[in-house]
Amino acid sequence: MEAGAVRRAEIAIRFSEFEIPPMQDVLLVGRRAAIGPEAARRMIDALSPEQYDIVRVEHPVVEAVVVRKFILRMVPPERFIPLLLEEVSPIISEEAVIKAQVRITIHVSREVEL
Amino acid sequence: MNCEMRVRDIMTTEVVTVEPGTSVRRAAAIMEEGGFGCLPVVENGRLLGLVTSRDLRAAHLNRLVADAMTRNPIVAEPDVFLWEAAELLAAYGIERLPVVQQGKLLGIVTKARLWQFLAQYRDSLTGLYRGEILKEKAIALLEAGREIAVLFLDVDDFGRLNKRYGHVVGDAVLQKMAVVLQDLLHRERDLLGRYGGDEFAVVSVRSLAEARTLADLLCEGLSLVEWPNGLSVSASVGVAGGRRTRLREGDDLRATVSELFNAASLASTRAKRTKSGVVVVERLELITG
Repeated sequence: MEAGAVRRAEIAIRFSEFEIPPMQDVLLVGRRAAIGPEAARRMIDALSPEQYDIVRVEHPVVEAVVVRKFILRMVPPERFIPLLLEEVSPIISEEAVIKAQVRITIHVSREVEL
Repeated sequence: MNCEMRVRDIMTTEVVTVEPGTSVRRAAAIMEEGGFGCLPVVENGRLLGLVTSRDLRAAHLNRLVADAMTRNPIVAEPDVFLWEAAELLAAYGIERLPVVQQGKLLGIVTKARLWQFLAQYRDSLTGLYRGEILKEKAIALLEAGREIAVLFLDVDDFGRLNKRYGHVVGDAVLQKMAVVLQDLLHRERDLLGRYGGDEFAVVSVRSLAEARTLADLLCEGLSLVEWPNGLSVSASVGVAGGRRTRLREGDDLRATVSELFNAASLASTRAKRTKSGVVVVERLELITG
């Protein structure tokens, strides 16, 4: 190093809240993804016990869907999972793990006697 | 060794296993170091699955074994006969059979080890089971309360064929007959064996009426084959069968099965002598209570 030269380090720090669990409502696990559904279950059970279900699926690319139990209480899995797979199919690959945010609104309209 | 040996008698009990939380990378290393073709995946002594080299090749190295293993593998109870285990391996095209009792892994038996013990019960000319194994199969079926039938096939004029064309041609006829018969049988319902020189036998779970139909089918099948040296080869078939209706302690099933084979054998002799079609059916009373 030349005499008189100065060394400096510039440090930038960004703080943000860690999401628990670090996934959202749904995790779609590809058949050759780096983590499988069992590993996902262990991770999620450690962070948010008893809040998620694993649904293994017959699909050429997706091995399993990890989904918040609450969602399956609102929409039964036989309706929800095929819909989810249909929508994710064009973008997912065997190696991918994709998270999805799901918003469900239930519309109710009833008539009552006056 | 006798053909009543069971899987527990020959299984390897010192089995290298992995836990479901083991990484694929680690499992692959264990398999390579130990020269293993597969590893049982065990948790608290219970078998959860098997991880094979093929499973590992298809999985990401970062995965857990639990996410790469074959679930619900084919297993055997320790009391399964060796020939039954061999049938399982053949039916599913697998090389290894974990031995499990009430979910707990007791050991493992490989195809090679099984055949090391079973070789003496295979007929070297045709590759079929010999008579002892057929009888064991019949005993197991009767024990399970199944109706069984025994078909006894005797090649017509085989002695004369052997003398006229020589033993090499005779052997070729027997080998071809084994292949033809095997093709006409149903793997899950019938077990074919070579009983003696020119005698074949089938132990079947078919009813007597179905077995008679099968006998006709076998005879017809043989008539359609192109035999070595342009020969015309046929067989006489005897059929005997029945169901054991009562079971008492001390009943001699072995003697009952021998009677059944004997009746089928005598029926085939009668079929040959009388040339009465080719099938003679005998009903044997198997009530031993």
